[in-house]
Amino acid sequence: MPLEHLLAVAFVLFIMGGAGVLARRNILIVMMSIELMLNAVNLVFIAFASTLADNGGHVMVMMIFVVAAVEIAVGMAIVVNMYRQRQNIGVDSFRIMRG
Amino acid sequence: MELATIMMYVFCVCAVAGGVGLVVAKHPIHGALSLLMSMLCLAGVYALLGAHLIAVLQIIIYAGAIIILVVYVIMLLDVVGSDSAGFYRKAGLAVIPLLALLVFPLVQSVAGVGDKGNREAAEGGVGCEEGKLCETLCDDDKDNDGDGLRDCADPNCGSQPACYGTVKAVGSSLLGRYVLPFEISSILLLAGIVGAVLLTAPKPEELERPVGAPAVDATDDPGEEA
Repeated sequence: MPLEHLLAVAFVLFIMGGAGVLARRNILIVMMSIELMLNAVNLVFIAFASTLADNGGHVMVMMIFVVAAVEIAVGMAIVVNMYRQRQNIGVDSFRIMRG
Repeated sequence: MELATIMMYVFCVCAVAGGVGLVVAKHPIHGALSLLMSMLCLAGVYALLGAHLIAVLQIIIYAGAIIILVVYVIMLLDVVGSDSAGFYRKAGLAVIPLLALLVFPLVQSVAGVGDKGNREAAEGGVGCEEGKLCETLCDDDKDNDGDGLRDCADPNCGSQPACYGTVKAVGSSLLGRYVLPFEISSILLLAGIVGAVLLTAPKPEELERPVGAPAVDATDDPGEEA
């Protein structure tokens, strides 16, 4: 499979993740869309690592795994807190983060 | 066209379809399942590209840990969405043959038959014995041919030599050349753990008494409740 096709797939995934972040009002869907964007970046790293036969891309993908895991853990903690206080997880209710 | 190439295209199409499902999902649980499908398909793509360790980690971390966390939160919060269960029930049935497809690249990875370098090594070809290759050619910063790349990309070993993408090769570069980012990421994980615990832990005043106990209980120190 040529590199260009993989990059095209990654581009489409990233654009869809961005569309989800911008268009959806549910905070859970927004966070999952961010995960989708991170996955698109991972695909770019793996595609170039495969083309160049270099393991550095794999290490970078592992770093992105760590960042994604931390982000989803802290984000879900914030979502749970927000739901406890306001019984609402729409993005519009996140204008004020102060408890 | 080779079978692996066809499967890679199938996985790419399904990954994009999972992304579309995430963006258009009415209920977050449907979005989570669509994202799960997208991640599993990307794991298949990684395995077919020779990134065996990353493919397995993708399934364990993303499909295992992160999706489970999201689904837990969705169930915990009991968010109400509009009912579109009929469509997703049919879509869920379509995922089953896809998961069956996913078995192929993973088995291929484990067996090593899909890896070009391994296959050539198995055929006694260009001297890509795994131990020798990983000890000599994958030394950090060794660049004998002066092309700016490390010699894992040695032309004698094909485009994907046996030292590419395996646990040994990725692990040695993770703990060798990239050890500083590795340690920094562990600090980041620690910060994430502390942050998540601090954010979700009950307030100290809630911890003073057990759950369900009356607000004023008989303690030895009457000033504590004040």
